Amino acid sequence: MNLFQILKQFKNIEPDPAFKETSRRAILAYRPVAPTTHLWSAQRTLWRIIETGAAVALTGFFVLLITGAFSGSRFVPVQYSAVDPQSLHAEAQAIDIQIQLANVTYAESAVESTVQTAGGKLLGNPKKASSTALSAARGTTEATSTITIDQALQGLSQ
Amino acid sequence: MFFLLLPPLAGIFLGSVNTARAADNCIITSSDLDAVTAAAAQGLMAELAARRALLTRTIACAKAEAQSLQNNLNGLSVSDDEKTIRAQLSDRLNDAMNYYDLELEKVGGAGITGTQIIAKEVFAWRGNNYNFLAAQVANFTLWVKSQNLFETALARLRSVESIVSFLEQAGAQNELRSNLASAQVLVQAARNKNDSARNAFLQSLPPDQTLALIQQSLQSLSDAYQKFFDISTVVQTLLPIKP
Repeated sequence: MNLFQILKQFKNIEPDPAFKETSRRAILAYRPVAPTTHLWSAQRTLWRIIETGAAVALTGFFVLLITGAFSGSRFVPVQYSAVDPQSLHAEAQAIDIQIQLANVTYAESAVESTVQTAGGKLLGNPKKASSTALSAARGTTEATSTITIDQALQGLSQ
Repeated sequence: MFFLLLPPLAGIFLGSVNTARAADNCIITSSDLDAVTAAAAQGLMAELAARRALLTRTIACAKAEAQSLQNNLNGLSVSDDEKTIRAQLSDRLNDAMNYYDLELEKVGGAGITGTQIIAKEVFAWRGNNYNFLAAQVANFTLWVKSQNLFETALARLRSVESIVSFLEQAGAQNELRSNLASAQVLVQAARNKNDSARNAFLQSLPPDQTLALIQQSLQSLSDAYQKFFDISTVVQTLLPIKP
């Protein structure tokens, strides 16, 4: 008997009649699964809410962590660079520069006041000749030839 | 009719050109005043011409100065709260420039006495108005450019506070605590003075008062950094690692 004849005989294979009957009854006796109960649905919904909430919270935490929102928190390691003398010195120097600028502004205001006072004295003496007044205005700036707008006006008013 | 209008129109046009040219050279020297004195010796017409020319140039330069201040003011990057102050100052500079324009228009038709009166008026007006405004603009510029220093100092204080708290977990640190308390007081004082300076701008207080508040706030900030240096020295003695 060759292999081809053996394969043909497979067509005649049948199950045992008793097994066939038992299987048929089992299939006919099968009842579909009962529809989902309300309790089970509520549990699943609750679980999904918890899952979603946890995912959102975790995402938010990482966003805050990346943006440095916890920089002042006790959970973040202490940064000793905050007392680094070099960076402290740089910041202190920037403040000192601003203080010097403020003092320069103050000095300029003081100079303007002085010029105004000098102008008042000149204008208070109408008997002075024009040339005298011009020379007086010029005399306040002998050190430098450049004069301010107020000094020029002061000279031209005489 | 058209020909009757020509001279005034030409005068206005030439006047604006002359004003623009006058503002080109805003370095006024004592020799410019000497030139007026020399012209006086040559006769009234020569003196009048010299006075008009120098007065026009001087007022044009005053206007250019106000314009320059306004340009610098508008170039500052300020927060929304500070835009109100900047707008107030900018409006006052506009008023100043309008005043100079009005005075410039008078110069063309003025005699020798007229030019003297105009010069006297502008000088007095600057003393009573413009110089205070210019000082206030300078103060505001200084104040705006100092704001980042206050933010940096506050961030520095927070970091130092966390270091001191951490070190205190190992035991009481009286010196650190004392220096930190002083730094906290100084930074707070600096911020209070800084806020007072902002209010001084809003209330248009005299420039010297505003400047004094700015100086005091910066000085407190500088003193706070001295305390930070003291804390730094103590921390380096407590910890073997280099910060």
